[in-house]
Amino acid sequence: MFDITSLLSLNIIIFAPAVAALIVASPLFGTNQIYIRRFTKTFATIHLLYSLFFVAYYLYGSDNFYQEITILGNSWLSKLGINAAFGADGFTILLCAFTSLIFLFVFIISKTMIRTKHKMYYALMLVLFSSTLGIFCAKDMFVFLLFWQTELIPIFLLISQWGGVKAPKAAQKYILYNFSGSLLLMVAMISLYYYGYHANGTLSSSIDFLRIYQADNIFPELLQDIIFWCLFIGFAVKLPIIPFHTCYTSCLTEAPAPVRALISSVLINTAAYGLIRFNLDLFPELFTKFAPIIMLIAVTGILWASFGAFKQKEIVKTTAYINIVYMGFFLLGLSAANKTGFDGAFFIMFANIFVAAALSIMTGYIEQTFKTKSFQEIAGLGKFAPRLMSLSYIIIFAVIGVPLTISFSGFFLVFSGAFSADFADALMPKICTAVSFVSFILLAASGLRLLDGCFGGISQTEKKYNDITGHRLMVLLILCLFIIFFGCFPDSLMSFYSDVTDMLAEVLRV
Amino acid sequence: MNLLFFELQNVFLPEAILLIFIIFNIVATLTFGKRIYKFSSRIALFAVLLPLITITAGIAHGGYTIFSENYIQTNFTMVMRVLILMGTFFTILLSQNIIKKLRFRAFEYYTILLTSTFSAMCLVGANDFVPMFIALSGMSISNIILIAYWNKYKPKEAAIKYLISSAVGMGFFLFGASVMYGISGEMNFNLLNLHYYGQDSSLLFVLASMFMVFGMMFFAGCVPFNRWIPDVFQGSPYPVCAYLSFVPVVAGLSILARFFGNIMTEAPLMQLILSVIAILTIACGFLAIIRQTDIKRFLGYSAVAQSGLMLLGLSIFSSYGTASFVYFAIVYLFINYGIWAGGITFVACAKSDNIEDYKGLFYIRPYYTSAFVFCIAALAGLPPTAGFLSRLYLYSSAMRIDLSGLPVLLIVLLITVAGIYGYFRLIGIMFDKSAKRELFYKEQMNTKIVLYFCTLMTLVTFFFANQIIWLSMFAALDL
Amino acid sequence: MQILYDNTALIYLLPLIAFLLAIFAKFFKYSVSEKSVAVVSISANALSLAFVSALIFYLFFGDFEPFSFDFIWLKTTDLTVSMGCLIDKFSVCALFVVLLTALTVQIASYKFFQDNDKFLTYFGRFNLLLFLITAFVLSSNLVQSVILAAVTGASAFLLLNLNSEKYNVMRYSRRFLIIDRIGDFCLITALFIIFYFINTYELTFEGSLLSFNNFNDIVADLYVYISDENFYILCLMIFTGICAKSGIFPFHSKPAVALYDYSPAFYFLFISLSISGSLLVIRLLPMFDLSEKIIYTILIWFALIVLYSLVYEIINRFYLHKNDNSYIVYSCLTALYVILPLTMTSKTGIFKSDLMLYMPFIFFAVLYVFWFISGEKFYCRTQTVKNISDSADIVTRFGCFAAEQVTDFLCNITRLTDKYLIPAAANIVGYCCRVKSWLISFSQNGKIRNYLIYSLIFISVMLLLYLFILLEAENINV
Repeated sequence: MFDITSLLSLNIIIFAPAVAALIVASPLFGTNQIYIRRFTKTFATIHLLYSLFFVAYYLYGSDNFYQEITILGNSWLSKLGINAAFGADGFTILLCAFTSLIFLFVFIISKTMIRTKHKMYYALMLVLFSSTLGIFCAKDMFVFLLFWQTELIPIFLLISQWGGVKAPKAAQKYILYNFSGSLLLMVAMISLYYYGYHANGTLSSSIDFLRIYQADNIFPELLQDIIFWCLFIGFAVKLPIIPFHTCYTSCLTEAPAPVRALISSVLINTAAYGLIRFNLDLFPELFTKFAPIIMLIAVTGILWASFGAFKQKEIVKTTAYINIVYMGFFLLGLSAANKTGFDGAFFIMFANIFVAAALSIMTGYIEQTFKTKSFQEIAGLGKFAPRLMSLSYIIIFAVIGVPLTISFSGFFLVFSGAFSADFADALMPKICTAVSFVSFILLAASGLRLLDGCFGGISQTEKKYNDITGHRLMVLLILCLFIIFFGCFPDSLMSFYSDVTDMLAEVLRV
Repeated sequence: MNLLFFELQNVFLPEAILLIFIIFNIVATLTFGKRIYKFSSRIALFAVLLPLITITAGIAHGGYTIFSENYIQTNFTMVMRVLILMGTFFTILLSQNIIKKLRFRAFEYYTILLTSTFSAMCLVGANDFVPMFIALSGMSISNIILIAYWNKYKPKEAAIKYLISSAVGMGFFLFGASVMYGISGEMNFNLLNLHYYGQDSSLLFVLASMFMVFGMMFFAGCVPFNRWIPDVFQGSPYPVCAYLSFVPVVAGLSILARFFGNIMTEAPLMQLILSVIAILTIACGFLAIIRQTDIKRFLGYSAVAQSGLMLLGLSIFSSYGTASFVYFAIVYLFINYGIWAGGITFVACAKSDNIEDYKGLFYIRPYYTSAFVFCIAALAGLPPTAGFLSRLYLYSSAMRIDLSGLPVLLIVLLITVAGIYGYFRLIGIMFDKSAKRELFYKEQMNTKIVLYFCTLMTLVTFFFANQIIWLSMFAALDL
Repeated sequence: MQILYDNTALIYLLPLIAFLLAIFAKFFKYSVSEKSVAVVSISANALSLAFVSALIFYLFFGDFEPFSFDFIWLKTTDLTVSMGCLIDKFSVCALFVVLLTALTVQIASYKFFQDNDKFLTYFGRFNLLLFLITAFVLSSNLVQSVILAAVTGASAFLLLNLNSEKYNVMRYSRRFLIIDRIGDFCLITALFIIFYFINTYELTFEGSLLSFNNFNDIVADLYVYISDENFYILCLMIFTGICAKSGIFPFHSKPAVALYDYSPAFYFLFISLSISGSLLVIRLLPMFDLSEKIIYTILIWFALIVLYSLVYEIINRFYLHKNDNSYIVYSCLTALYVILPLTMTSKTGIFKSDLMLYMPFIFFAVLYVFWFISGEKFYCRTQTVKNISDSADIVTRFGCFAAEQVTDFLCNITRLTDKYLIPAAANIVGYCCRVKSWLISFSQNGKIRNYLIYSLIFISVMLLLYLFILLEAENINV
């Protein structure tokens, strides 16, 4: 009998885009942009269907996937204890499927927004695709770090080559911040690597191996704290958390719209995923010990970013700050250290994927129509683009947190969890949660400002503008449908990751 | 076990073959060189390949000494000599452009080059202070001539600088070596080993070894002896720079490794001093990259930083650290020659050494620029190149198994960020679309081959890292 | 009738179908004509209304029992939120009011928006609001009510933002939504406080979380564990939320901003504000019952509202000579609808002096008398009324006033005991005042005689019914 599971290989999902990148970059295609675009879009569609197979298999077979890559009979670096192992459970496979979806959409909308050097653009995008999937599926610390650092050069080139006037500087800043963060990650991971050696006697950097040894406190407490905070700061730089957010906002402003959609929806999710897999999974006791501090950081971030979103003078920076608010809520949910909080945090990760991508596409279209980003020069699009306006209403309602859209369930669960957090000082989580409510009003104000500033009023010039049509309309429509669907039926999303959060909460309780 | 002279083929065969070819080159220069100068490159390549084959084919064995225990062959020296020979191999391939200008005097050039290689190989295997000194002087003199050989003003100035710096370095070395002899009464490393026992706290011994080390570190370009590097590099042609940034560095550092690995296995003070020197070297290298406008100075400072990193691996004084150094050296071979091959390719397009003239190179030579960018990423330590793995291995050995190296590592990593800034500035300039570029003349086939081959090898050493790490551990265990 | 049991979901699904049709027609232009969309929408509304009327008949005069059904929406180990329908006497009455108003407003809007290019947009958004309001009225637990109240606010914002080219429309509708969000989050905070206490003391209840079926038991259990202070804060939070949602002082600019861009939808919005407020109050009555302090606070609040509006009116009319129509009146009316059921919870006998209870009503009666004397038209803003055909105007106003009367009536009969003759009397005075104002406003249009007759007939029927129930003086429980 034909066994379909033999066709499902995580290696194919992760490395196929890299192979496709090589094909695109090779002399095979010349510089014929039509062939390159069609090839990339076809490849992305096939990849999406393939990952949907995985999702379906997970739903009906409920098996976790685990695969190791062997080169010449040994797993990649067995001398050092590093195996190129990839594994996925329900949560990860859903993240991979949504990543494929977003990349497909980004390829579709790149058609009108990218006009030069297509070969390099699509090759770099495919490399980025591969590295993101590798981050989600890696089951070994150094493999995770490898894919984490592989993103640096593609993003640098994508922002500096197709971005605005100040793009090279913004790209440099982004590289510096992220590289420093990944160096901190490297330090922490090497310490963990030796930690496992001291606990067990064998050198291995596999995450499953390390999870078992958390109960043994072999290193002194100070060292454990340092490792925890190195990991946290390494991820915080990319998440981004408030002291480090300036590189994110400046790079988002200068990047072209498809790259912006990618960074804000998928790449900051990799940092969130890293926080879950490392800080939470590997350090449960330290996490509960530091949870109040993390909650304070989260609330500071939420308030700062909400105020920031409200005061901006241009559309793209507003959406950047809205993203930072979402990630602040994610951190708030994590710091609640109970199952409801974790459920909410995971839900916000998914909500961010759709909302951020939709926001970037919308603002990208507006920016392309008006050739400017500032609020003062944009007005009156509502009369000419009613479809875009209706879809934008849905997106902004999702940003605001209107129920029956995807982000409300996330916010609801995060607040429930944070409110009932079990800290030593019982009043603190309640005060923190109540204070972060203020951000809702500010989010509402800034979201409405975005909406009315772009679509309301009458435009000063006498030009006529076009409505959104064709592929871009389909993309935005599908994103909005997802927003409404997962808003009305949140249970469908939660069933994928409820066992992961169960396990995390169990470990913390014990 | 000491071998007699007529058994030298087990140990000294590669050097002997080189010696034969050097003599042939000298003779050719004086007599029939003018007739067969066109074959000079191929003869030189053969001169390098033959010893390579003898080492790798296992004709020579490990553990033997020769010349009354003055010269030793171990697994480590075998691996290092292979690296030196391959470095020279790539240098010869890259030298084709300048050979064309030399024409009848090609054999002279190869004489000097092969002599320098020969001295480097002897340095690696030296087991006593005297052969060490001989090899060091041989290497420095032949390097001076290599630098000064060309018909312009700048090389002469660079050569004088190198001469003076090397003299100072050698002076330090002699001083340290003589003090050591004064303390212990022995010159041979095998015997020094016994005398060292219990001398850990002796400040004099540490001072003496420090002075000695300075001499060796001159070649590696470590602080405070790296002032010569940017000026010398700026004054020399590209293949010579490529050679100078790899072969003497590796030779100097490997003799250092052998010295400390055999004699000073437990010396916390020395470890501290070496770590500090390594950190200062890395800092000097990376911080200076940021503002460079000349590509050769840029790559010179980058070489300083890389040798600082290698020294960091050596300062661990354990086989783990030495294995990481060997792996780093193997990967650095390919990265270094890839980078310099790229430099030669681009000076053909830009016709100047100024980095600002590299603007927009991607748009006329996309594939070369991609390969060049790949090599720069390897220098910076980014995946998916082998540079990432070598750095990872290095940092994990610098951390030490009980995590006591954490502060050192944090400082080093902080400095690496400056390096990233410099490297990405170079990458950004190459992709800068604001300037239009034209091609001046076509590059040599050999350069292109070296560029692509080295880029490919950085990928191959990344995927097949297991075997190469096995090789470095094999080398490190037998110093 | 079994068919009514099984197809209750039709009540709110019919407007949803109309909404989807409107969107379809908008996206694919020229596929469906505007007229057919309007016809489908109005007939869907009428069908729902017929359905609800049948339910009323069977519930009040037949042998139906209140019933509910729900499905799980969001499930974690600590928390399970479900959504559903609760059909009991109050919800069907409120539903009747809503659907009747919506029907009349839709008929009026058909004429009003006939040549407007925003016809389809208007009908789409109107049906969305109707769908959400019906789902809200039928909600079976508190969490669902709060969630749907929030969406209803957003959908009302959509309806108000119809002519977003005008700058002030944008600004005012934004203000509307922000006030609405403030209300939402007061309510959600209250929910979290309740969840916290439920989790801390590990209380368990049968059925879905915070269901209205057994809300009495829930509140009784909670009251045991929560201290008086905390309970008071909880109730205050809920009441603030309700005020913000319904546009009661200090959030009284809500009806005003809703009226800025005049369209017949204003009346429906007004009804929806009042209904959402009063529905929440009635469902949460067991909670307000238990706290003495909150009743006092609310009464004082209401007294303050009336006082403020009185002072505002006096100052405006006699000192500033401003002629603007005081929109605070709308806020007061909403307050009346919301607070009226609340003030009739004297089962606990907590009032020391009945004068305290009746004071607000006396104030309100005085206000009505004052308007009666000054002859002010306070039901229309003539300066923004342009291009309205007479028939549409009359039908609209008639429909809306009818709806108001029915609401008053129903609120009163649900909690009628023999103690409440005086507020009932105050209401009668109010009716008379309104008659006067109708006379004045309709006199502008000339067709006074017909409409006087209609309105007099209607008022007399209502008064007859009122007197009938007063004489019976039965306790009619929800």
